[in-house]
Amino acid sequence: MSERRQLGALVIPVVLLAVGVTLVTGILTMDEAGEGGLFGPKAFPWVIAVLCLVVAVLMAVQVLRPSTTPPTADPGDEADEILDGEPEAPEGTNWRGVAIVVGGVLLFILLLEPVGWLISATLLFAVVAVGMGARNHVVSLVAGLGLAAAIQLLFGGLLGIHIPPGILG
Amino acid sequence: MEQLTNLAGGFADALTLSNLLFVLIGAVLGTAVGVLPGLGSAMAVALLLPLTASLDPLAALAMFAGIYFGGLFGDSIAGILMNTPGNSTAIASSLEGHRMARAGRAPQALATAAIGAFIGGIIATVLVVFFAPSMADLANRFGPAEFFALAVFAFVAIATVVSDSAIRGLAALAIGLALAVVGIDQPTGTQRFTFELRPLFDGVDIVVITVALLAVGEVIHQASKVGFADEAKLIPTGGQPFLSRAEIRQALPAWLRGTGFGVPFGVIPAGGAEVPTFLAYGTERALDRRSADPQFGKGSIKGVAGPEAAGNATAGTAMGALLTLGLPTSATAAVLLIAFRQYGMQPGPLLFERNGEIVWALLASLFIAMVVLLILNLPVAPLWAKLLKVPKAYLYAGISLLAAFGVYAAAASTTDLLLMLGIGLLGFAMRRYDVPLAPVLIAVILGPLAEYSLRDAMANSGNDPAVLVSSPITIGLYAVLVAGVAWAVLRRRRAVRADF
Repeated sequence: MSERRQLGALVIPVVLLAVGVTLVTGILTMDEAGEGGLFGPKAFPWVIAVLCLVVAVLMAVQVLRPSTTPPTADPGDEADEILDGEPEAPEGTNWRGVAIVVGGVLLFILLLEPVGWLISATLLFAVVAVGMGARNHVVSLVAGLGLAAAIQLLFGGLLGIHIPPGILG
Repeated sequence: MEQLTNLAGGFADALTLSNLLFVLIGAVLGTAVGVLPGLGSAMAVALLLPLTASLDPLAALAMFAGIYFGGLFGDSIAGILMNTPGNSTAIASSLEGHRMARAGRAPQALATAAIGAFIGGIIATVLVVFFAPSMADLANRFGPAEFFALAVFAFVAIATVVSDSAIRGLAALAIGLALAVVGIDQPTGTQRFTFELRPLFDGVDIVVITVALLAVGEVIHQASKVGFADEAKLIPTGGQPFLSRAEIRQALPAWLRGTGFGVPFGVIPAGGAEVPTFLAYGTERALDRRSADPQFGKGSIKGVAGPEAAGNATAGTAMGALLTLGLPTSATAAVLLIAFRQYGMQPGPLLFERNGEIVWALLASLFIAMVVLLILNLPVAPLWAKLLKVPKAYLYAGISLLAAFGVYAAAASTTDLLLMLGIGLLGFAMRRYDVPLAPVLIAVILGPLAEYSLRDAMANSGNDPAVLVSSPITIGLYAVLVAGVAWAVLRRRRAVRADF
């Protein structure tokens, strides 16, 4: 495991820290309605906030400390063998793929209501497929259109779930 | 034997053409997601939840039951044939299973796995049928203090006993609990952490959380590995999966021992079947070492039989804990609990009274699902492996489409979609750095139960903390919890020492 990837593990403590701080500010600015008693609406969030902050610190320490302890415990020597055979912890990360997939979902969210399900869903499918390594864009678009239409007919038509029609409606 | 009458009634309700069709769909879907690495029954049910809201509850729950067990039937197929277990629950049985396949005994390994899954599941479900009513009676005596103890028990067990690192388990738990407190506080009407955003007044929709964590997170995780994963090779199987009488005689004790490991773990919130499958595997290996002709390492049929039976036995009794206590003990059970809520039913002591008919029909559907799965898996197991040839890009593109559709369909809200993306990214980070996901789901579901029962207990007793440990049930739960944590600590110590 590379040095950079280990530092990347700090993202979890950072998230916990952010959650903890959000909880604390939320508790301090909370408009408490009514009489809550000793255990009002703030007590439980306090416990969670403290838990978040404590775990964030412990985890950060664990990540930053030079690793002298053996990596995670095992259910047996042979289990490691099989896990090593799997691409469990690849050396590299395809950040381009991640960016394309996330961008595709964002695009879908922006387009869904103005443009409608059929077009935005087709694009979502095609963009995610590209992010996952599909080469043939025409096939991706056609497959996406087919699936999007099938979902619209099956769930919108038969089960009556509301689907934004957008510009095609 | 009131149970048998009830179960007979359940079979009468369950054996309709449409219900059987949904069980079959569930079994096929479940086996499929079991076979495909990265997909699991929790994700499959989560994706289907918003889409099935308008279905008949029994039909949908029967389908989910098929998915639930199907995942455990299918997960060993890819493990045995390609050494890529479809789920972590199949790692243990794939060790010897893949060796059997390499030695030319793939059909036998597949048959041992399928029959083992069947035996474990059936025995556990029979136990549930007989003990569910008395469990529900016991749970009927639960007051706020008992429910609080149950929730604490679940939190500590899932966070510390199961995951390799207690800190990572607690991290997941904290995230889940934080998500659970967003929204209007029920007893007082106070707005909590809503940032004045109307869509957050009712809290973060639990369907959004499950779909985001289990499906969107996995899609992003897979995208991050494109180009770096290596291809596994499929071992061709000749002939039909079958077992000779001698092989059955070898496997039978292992199937039963595995079931014995799985049954108790179903009711412990231990995140699923990983722990019991490895305990079963370890036991079979230890027994094998003492025998005259050790088979482990060469492809032992017992090494497949034990873990497979343990896995499905866990799933079976987990269903019992879910129905009678409202206690989800794994990610899949957590998603099933959400499914019950979607149909206005609350798993727990009152479920058998209020929705008795549907519960017994569901239990009957479990038996039907198991038979269907055995039929689906025994003769055609190698065919399922062909699923692995579906291009990954289209598979995951389709999953993201279903996820986005389901989340939007639930409330027609773009905010939910943004939350889905955010929590999905969190799910990606958690997968990448080995933070378990199940504690998040358990915390989101049981968080409100823990908080409100604690506040009830305190309000009823005039803030006397002694009320929390004043009944035999609470004392018993905390005692079991302490014993469990001690066992986990000991086990980890021993594991660390073994490394040196």
